[in-house]
Amino acid sequence: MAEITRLIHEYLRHDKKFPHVWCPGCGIGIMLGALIRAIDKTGYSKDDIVLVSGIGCTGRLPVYVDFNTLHTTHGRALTFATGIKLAKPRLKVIVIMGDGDAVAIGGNHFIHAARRNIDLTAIIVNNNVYGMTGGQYSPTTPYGMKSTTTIYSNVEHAFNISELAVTAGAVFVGRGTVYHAKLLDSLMEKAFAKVGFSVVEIISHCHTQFGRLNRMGTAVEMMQWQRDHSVTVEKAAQMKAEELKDKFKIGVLVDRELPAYQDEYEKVRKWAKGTEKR
Amino acid sequence: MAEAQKKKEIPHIDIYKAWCKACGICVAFCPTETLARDEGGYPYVKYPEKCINCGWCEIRCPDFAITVEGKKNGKKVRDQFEKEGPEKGTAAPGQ
Repeated sequence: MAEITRLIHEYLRHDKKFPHVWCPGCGIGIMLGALIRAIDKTGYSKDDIVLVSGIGCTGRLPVYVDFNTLHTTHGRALTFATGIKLAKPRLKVIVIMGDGDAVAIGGNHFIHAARRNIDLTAIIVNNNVYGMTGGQYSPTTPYGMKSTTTIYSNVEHAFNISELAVTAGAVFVGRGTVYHAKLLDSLMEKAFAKVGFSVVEIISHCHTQFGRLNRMGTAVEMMQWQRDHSVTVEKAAQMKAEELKDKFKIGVLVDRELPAYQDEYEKVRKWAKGTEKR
Repeated sequence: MAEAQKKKEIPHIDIYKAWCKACGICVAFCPTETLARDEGGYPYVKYPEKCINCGWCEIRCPDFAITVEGKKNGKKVRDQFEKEGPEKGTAAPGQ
């Protein structure tokens, strides 16, 4: 067995049912591989990592990996994660969410976690639709696309998750696609190294629901679409606005320094105890 | 003798059928068309000698069902391939 797969098997829970529950060709499997490789590179032990997930296809992810894992209610993954981080600041808390989890039901928690700048890494798998529950439209379904609840056309405009995170105050925001699997490794590594709220948005595909309704084809064709419609941040800087019209940027979108919430809160505790003067 | 040595260098591709869901990603994005799909859609190694050990089938497999055991100079070939960039041909690896 080759090195990469051997490494992944070290982190899988082999007592769970494999092959995993996701559809053939689903991007979450590719993203899981990237996540394991990135965590392995950080040097954290399995006991130092906490994976928190909400509901949806991504909610199944922590089941398969051998870390401290938590499967929470819909949209509240970030709130549970905030609690864990404040109670045990030495743990590395990673939150796995889907687009519905992060910006629909948990939208409020998402912007406020980013604003507070609490030291979490949010990994958001954006497949433009609520895949598990039957393909209903989500806040990231693009304008004019079909879903099972917008059978003629979606008349709402989509959220741009990464730009939302930048505006809300996240210190690190990166975007990748499952086609660019190695880019995901490096984005996640950088996000894990960052102290503060870091976001990695992963453009994935739901060929079973979204792809079929919009005649976008199989998983392979949707991955080709990702390849053709993504531009690296460096390349995009040299391109004109018209050329970027139907494209999205991938790479590190924001990397900045801001004081993190739990460090600031520690200061408040010291002031209150009187051990340190303000 | 020369032929025997050449054979040794061919990377070993292992497909774990029990976990494979026949999504076709490894076959579609194989830059050298080493892999092909059988009548059930499952991948098999059609031209083992074509494999350049780029490792993209292993990285992109959502089910961790394919592995490539490299030859000695495999990394060198892969680096060269990555430098050329994703624009060259539809099958080229990305990033």
